Amino acid sequence: MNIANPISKPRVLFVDDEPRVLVALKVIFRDHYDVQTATSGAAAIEALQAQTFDVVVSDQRMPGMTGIEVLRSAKQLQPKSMRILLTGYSDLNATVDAINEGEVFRFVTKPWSNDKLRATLASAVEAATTDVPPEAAAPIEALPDAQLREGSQSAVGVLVLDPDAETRTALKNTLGRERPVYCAASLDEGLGLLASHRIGVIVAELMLEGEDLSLALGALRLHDPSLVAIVLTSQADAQRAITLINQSQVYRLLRKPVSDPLLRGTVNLASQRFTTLSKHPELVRRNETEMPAEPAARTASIGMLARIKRLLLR
Amino acid sequence: MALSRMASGGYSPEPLFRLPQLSLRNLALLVAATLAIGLLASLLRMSWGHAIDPTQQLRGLEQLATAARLDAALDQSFESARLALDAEPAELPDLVQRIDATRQGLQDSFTRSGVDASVSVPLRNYINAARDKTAATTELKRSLGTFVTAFKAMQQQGDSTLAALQSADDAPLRRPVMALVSAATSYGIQSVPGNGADIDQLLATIDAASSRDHAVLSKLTAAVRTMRSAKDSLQRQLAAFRAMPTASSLQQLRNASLDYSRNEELRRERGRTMLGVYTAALFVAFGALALWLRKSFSDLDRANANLQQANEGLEQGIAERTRDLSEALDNLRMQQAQLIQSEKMASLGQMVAGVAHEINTPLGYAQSNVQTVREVLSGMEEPDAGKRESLDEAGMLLADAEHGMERISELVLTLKDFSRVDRSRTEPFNVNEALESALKICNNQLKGRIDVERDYAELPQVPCAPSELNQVFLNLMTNAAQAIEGPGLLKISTCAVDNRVEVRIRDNGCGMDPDVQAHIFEPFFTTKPIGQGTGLGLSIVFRIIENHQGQIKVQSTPGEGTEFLISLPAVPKRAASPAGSTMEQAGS
Repeated sequence: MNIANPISKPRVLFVDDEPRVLVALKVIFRDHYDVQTATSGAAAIEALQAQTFDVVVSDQRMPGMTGIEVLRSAKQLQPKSMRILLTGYSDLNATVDAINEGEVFRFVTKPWSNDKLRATLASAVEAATTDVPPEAAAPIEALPDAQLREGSQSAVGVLVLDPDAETRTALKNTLGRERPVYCAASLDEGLGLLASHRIGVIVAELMLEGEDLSLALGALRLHDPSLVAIVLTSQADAQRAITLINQSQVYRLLRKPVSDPLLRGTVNLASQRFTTLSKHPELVRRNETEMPAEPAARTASIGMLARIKRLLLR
Repeated sequence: MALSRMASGGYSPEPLFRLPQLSLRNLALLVAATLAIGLLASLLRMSWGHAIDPTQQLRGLEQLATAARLDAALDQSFESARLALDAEPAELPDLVQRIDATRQGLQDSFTRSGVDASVSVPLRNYINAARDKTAATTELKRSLGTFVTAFKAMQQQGDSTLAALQSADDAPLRRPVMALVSAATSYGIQSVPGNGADIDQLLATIDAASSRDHAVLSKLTAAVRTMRSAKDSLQRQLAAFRAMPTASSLQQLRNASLDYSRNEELRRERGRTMLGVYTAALFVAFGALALWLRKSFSDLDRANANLQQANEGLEQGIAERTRDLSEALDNLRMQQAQLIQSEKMASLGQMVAGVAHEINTPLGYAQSNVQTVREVLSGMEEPDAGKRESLDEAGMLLADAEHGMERISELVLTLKDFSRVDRSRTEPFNVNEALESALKICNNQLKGRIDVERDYAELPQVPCAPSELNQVFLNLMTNAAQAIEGPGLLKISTCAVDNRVEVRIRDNGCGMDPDVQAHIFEPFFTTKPIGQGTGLGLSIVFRIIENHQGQIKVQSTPGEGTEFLISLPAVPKRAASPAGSTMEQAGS
């Protein structure tokens, strides 16, 4: 590999309190990327203030500052950069925060496989180097209210997917004033609604009659990549949350019960995001999912896709 | 048993009778009772004691009549004797004797019948009078004798005078003498002579006619005068005799006696009436007492019944309370067991979290570095033969290192899977995987000693809390391993029956007798020595299976082994089947 100009190489920041991890990562990636390292959250933020990075990879458990906090700062300082969490252990709160606050691209567990990590980093760099329009790149929290309201007025349809009739009614009442809301009790019903209406946001319950929603969502995104998914659950689970990040790139994971203002705000943000994604389809790369690694899940995913296609073509 | 003992020994029976305490009230009651009995006795004595014998009374009256008769006869005897010109009444001694006898008899009979002063005074009066009267008879007898002598002398003188006056010249004298004699005779005979004046006139006539001294005549007049004075004296004595108060005192005595007996009768009559009234009063009192007693007994009965009822209620209450308490105790024990269980799982989860992070971080860079080094080695230029061999060797060693690290990584994953601290409470779960995971965890209890025979069937997923189900399998496997001494066999089989999943875990260990089998699912029951077992393992297993709407059964023969059979409901087919069929279609 000919590395003529180091400046032109994508710049990656690794954050970990264990220097040996940083050494190992540097050895793997220095040939392809401009690798910078930080051994603490504070050092990482300093680096983020000094330079722009395409990808930030952080450990979660660190003294002083957690990885989520580092990634949240990175999102604010450099919205264009992609964020990856690389951690040895994750509790539920960490994974939920990784989705909602860090908006991470991937959640990678230690010990990692070099090849997989290379692939992940490659796709992150690819997404990061895509041109980003300023309004989409800006952290959504920073968007002015007027813009949000404009977004909400675009009347993006919302699909509520929940087996519980009471919850469906409650969500419809909460969201129905500002936008069309379609309710479905099962995935099949929901797919039918998706085919016949313009729907940009899905508000779905994680436990949908025993079906694995993360697979279904991944499959739906393969079909329509600009769909924005909000998952509601009363039975949060770290492993499922990681799957939702890596294979579904869900926008938010909310734990029931959800307060009405939070839900409305989140759906507004999601609508805004759908509008942006619809305008700039190339941005979808930033939310590209990884294909399920296990053959069985892959088969299931493909089966689900087939089913979706069949429903849509009907 | 404890209950009945408590119920029977709960109270000691009250003594049925108790000595009355000498309170003021009781004392008053006692005095009243004594008075009542005393009054009754006196009334009885008044009406029945002291009775007057009617025959006695009759005899007394007869005696009184006899005495009266005798008294009259005594009077009469002197009158008759005077008329008969007897010097002495012939029956007098007999009469006197009889009067004395009667008097004595009266005294005896009245004294014997015990009379009071109203009778005894007249009696004494009569006795004195009778005694005086009999004493007076002697004087009267003498007077009578004098009169009879004088009368006879006068008649004799008259006869002799008349004989003397046979002469003519005495003829005028004859008639007055005869008249005188006749008058004197009638004077002597009549009980109340009224011719005393005639006699005085005749005497004066005779005295005048015999101016001369006539001896015969003077003799006659003297005799007449003597007879007259004797007669007057007798008459006086007789009158005095008759006037003696025997008859009146007898009458008095009779009246007194009759009065006495009448009074006595009246008194007794009154006594009887009073007794009757008193008896009636007593009857009323007894009736009232009986009523009061009856009422107090019925009150007592009612109180007793109430007490018994209350007692029964109390017993029932105690029984209920005991049942509630033992239920509460069971619940408490169960909760304690569950608390211990969840604490155990929580601390295991925390430990696993810490260990996983601590292991994964060095494992991460170690594994990565090994991979990197292998890549570097494989990317090296073609070396010479000597180096080639050592490079191959290094590659092999690195592959081994990688293998070892994969094992470590796998173990950490298994630990994480097992503790499931980062997993939701309930999710569809493959029981076969859970069994494998549990076998991996208790591997070093089985390794080299116990063969494991697996017979897994295709299973539907089971909705469960995976960490709890893992705990169940681990507990059963650990128990099986402990039941086997030396080499043995652990047989684990699964099958799907009617939308349920059945798991059999069988060992060929020491087994249990039925007595132990009956208790193994109770909390804190253990056959292990104190300090080596909490006795919670199987109770936790039981509770977890129950929470999953499952069933657990045990079958054991001492010396042959134990089999646990767990049956769990699978995920309902309705939701699972369409996806499955689609998958098949897609796959083919």
